[in-house]
Amino acid sequence: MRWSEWMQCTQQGDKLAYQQLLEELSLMIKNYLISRLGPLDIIDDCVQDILLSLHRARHTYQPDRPFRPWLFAIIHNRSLDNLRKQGSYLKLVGEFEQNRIFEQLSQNTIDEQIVQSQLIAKLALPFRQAIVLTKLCGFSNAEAARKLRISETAVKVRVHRGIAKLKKLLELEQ
Amino acid sequence: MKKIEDTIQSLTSDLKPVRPALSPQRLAALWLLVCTVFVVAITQYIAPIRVGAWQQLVSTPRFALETVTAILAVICFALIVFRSSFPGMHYRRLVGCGLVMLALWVTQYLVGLWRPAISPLPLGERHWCWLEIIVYSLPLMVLALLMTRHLYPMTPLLTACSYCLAGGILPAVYMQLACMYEASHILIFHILPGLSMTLLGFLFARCYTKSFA
Repeated sequence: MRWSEWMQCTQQGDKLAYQQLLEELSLMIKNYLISRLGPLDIIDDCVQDILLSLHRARHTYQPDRPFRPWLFAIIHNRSLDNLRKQGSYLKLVGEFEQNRIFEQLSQNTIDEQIVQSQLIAKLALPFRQAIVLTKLCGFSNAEAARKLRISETAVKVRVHRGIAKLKKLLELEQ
Repeated sequence: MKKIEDTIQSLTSDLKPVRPALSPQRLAALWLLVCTVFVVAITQYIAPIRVGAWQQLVSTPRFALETVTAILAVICFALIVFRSSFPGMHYRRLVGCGLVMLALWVTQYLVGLWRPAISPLPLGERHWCWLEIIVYSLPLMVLALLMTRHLYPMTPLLTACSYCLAGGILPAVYMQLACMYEASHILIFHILPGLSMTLLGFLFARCYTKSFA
């Protein structure tokens, strides 16, 4: 209710209301994403991207409609987009770090990581493996294919379907 | 976290008042109104509609049903266009409804190949009806693109394909009245060009992905 009022004030150009809104939302979004996707390095970028999207889309908020569905639609849309765009992890860490992460994953610490990201844990194992390797560990499709002993196309299909399932799960939560 | 705080500061300092966008229903109604007036006016301007078409519409229930299902499909897809351009709006049922209406519309003409609603006659034949449909649908799509571009389409491909489909069907529906009535002619020269406009949705969708990237 308060967020909705602040957003209405924002549409009228109230800078103070907007600052309060963004400050509260940024914390909420960050906690939400961590609870859903795990403590990833991309979370801060994701929050920033969502705030920019909220800014761009602020005129599409209809004051007579609830605020949360509008907000969460943007959060889900942007966070999934960020996850999709997340290319090779080589951009973020070196190959050594990649292998270390994979070794950890191989030693079943994957479960611990997945517990933190409950949403991914709801995916079936083949989709979960493909997403964890390509999106969270940052292996390329070819590298993930070798590790999973399947074709590169199969990895792509699993990632694509996995993200589609994540989207559905997020929508169900919404 | 510092980066997020900086972003908040920068967004707050740049804040300008905005007018909330019209509701999706109103935008869809506006688009449909402008498009219908345009299609009717231009079709009429190029050549008069088939003699007795309105009479046939009133006196032949099956012909009326064919037209109504197509109009309902256009309305569904127009609503999808604008509802999918507002975050948090539901439109999945509309997609189902639109596709069912579309299938019903096409099926009626497939049945019409054996049992036509109206006796086939070359009366009112327009030699370039298929080209007219393609050309008339383009401004409708561009208008929808302009109207949705400043909104926030969550699924650009669906939005773009929906208005390309609606924009393609609308002139095809009016061509049912304007051109000759013959099921195979309607299927090949009216419905097929109208539906094939959906493919342009892939092109139009790129306009959004670039602007949101």
